Amino acid sequence: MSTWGSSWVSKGGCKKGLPAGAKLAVLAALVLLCGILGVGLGSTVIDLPAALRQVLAGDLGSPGSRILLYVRLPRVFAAMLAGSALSVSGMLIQAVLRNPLAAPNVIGVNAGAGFFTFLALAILPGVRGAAPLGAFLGALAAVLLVCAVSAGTGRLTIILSGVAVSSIFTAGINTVKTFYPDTLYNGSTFLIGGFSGVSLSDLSPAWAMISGALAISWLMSGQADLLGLGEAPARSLGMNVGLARFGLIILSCVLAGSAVSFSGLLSFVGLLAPHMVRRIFGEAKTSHRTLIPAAALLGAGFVALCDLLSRILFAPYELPVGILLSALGGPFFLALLLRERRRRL
Amino acid sequence: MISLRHISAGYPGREVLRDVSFTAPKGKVTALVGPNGCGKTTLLQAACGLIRPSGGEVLLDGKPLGSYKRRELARLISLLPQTREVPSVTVERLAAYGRYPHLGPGKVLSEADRRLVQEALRQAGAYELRHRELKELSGGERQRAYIAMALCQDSGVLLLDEPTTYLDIGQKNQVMELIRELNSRGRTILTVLHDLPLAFGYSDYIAVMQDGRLEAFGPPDEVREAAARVFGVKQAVVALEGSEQIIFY
Repeated sequence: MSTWGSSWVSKGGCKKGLPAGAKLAVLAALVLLCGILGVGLGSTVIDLPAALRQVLAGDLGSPGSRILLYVRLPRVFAAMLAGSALSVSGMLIQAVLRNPLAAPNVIGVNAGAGFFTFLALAILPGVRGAAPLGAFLGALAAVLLVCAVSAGTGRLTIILSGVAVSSIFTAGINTVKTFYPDTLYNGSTFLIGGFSGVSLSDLSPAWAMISGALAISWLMSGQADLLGLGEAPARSLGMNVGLARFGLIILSCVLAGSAVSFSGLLSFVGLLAPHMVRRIFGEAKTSHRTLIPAAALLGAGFVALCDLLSRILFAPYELPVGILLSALGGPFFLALLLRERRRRL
Repeated sequence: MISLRHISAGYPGREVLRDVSFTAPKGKVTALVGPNGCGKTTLLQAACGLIRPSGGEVLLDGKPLGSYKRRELARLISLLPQTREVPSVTVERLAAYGRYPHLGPGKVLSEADRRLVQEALRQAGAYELRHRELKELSGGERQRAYIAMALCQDSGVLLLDEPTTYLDIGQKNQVMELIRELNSRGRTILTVLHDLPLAFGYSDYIAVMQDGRLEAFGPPDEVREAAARVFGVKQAVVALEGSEQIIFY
């Protein structure tokens, strides 16, 4: 049930196409399909039903069952988790900034995560978990800095603070690269992003944080809707605009920071998926109560599909999924800019 | 009833209102008139708690605004702001946003909420537009959509900042008739109006402002000279279709 959806306020009227619930169900089915394809296909052909039966029976004697449990399942799960987190993170930040071209990197997530990852690689080389923890803490530190600078001001100051903070942390990344050239190898893998070699233990505690943040985001969908009205009308309706903005930015940061801690910097998911969702559901008539779960599903399916393509397109060689996402996301972003320009002319 | 007591207010580095005191009586229509930049919008923002006065206090039904919780206040006062965003929503969703202060934690509209939304759309003359996107509408149609949102708040006090902007003369009169109708149901209305004949034709009380100060307050007949003076125009009372009308020229 969607709050404030036009098809919901008055029954009947100008409904076009499938209702929102049916569209969500179709998306969920597509995500499931991507998941099944993701665990079933790859550079090695496995008998999926047999491998699944063996895994459920605890028999890991065959290569197929081991590939399924230790390679494919963690990878598909990681791709879906990162996709849904980055997509919802983008949706939230776009609602807060009322800017359809905003993404988590606008509030300093990528630069902060990148700097602290490089710092961890330089100071604690070889320490397991240091780089992912650095990524998360870096994202959080950058966003808190942006929030502290822009507290009590408008969205333009948030964007400008994000630009300044990103610039500072990017300078930090380049400084670490200069003084610790050994960080370049692992660091570049992080900067490109991907799920190669990910294990279930790498996803903890990120999966719990992402799940919690997704649930809270959904509960705050009413506030995300109202922010679209602008500050004065939202405040006159009794909403604490500053608190709502801060809460949604922190949620966006937790989602993106948790995702990049195991996936690296995956570009364009936070921009691409929310736009696709708005087009599918119709932005004007759909509340964030529907858009947020839809963005989570579409992001999950999209990244899982791109990861599958990155594994099978040039098999047995693998393309980092970050490259594929950028290759798809770049043209989409340009098309979006051109469309915005045409609208203004 | 909203009482302003010695209100001074403004923005960082710029004081706009200076020692303004008057009471918008309960169940009456009070119009705020004055030249551009005299502080009418700032006064409305102070009256609903959007900006904190640097001096004085605003009382709502005898209690200071600060003693009300944010959402409680939004159930008692609704504001139609002067400058409005054009968000990507349908007219019906926009109107339904007005129910926000009345909704529980789940923010889900009840059957009664939905009926009220439909009623507000009809009252504001926006029912036929309800499935249209705000971005597709003319200025006047958007105005009606925002009025419907303010009506959905179902508050006893309505603050309207230039509700007749963008409207043609027929629509202006319709909006003023709507304001009188809402007033007849017991609502207290404080509205900024640029159109002097409308303000003097439809209001019970007029507050005349100039340079952040209150120049005059009272029934239309008593303040017409003050209004003409601050705008630098002349005024006269003429008989029109059997009734007396105040005109400015």
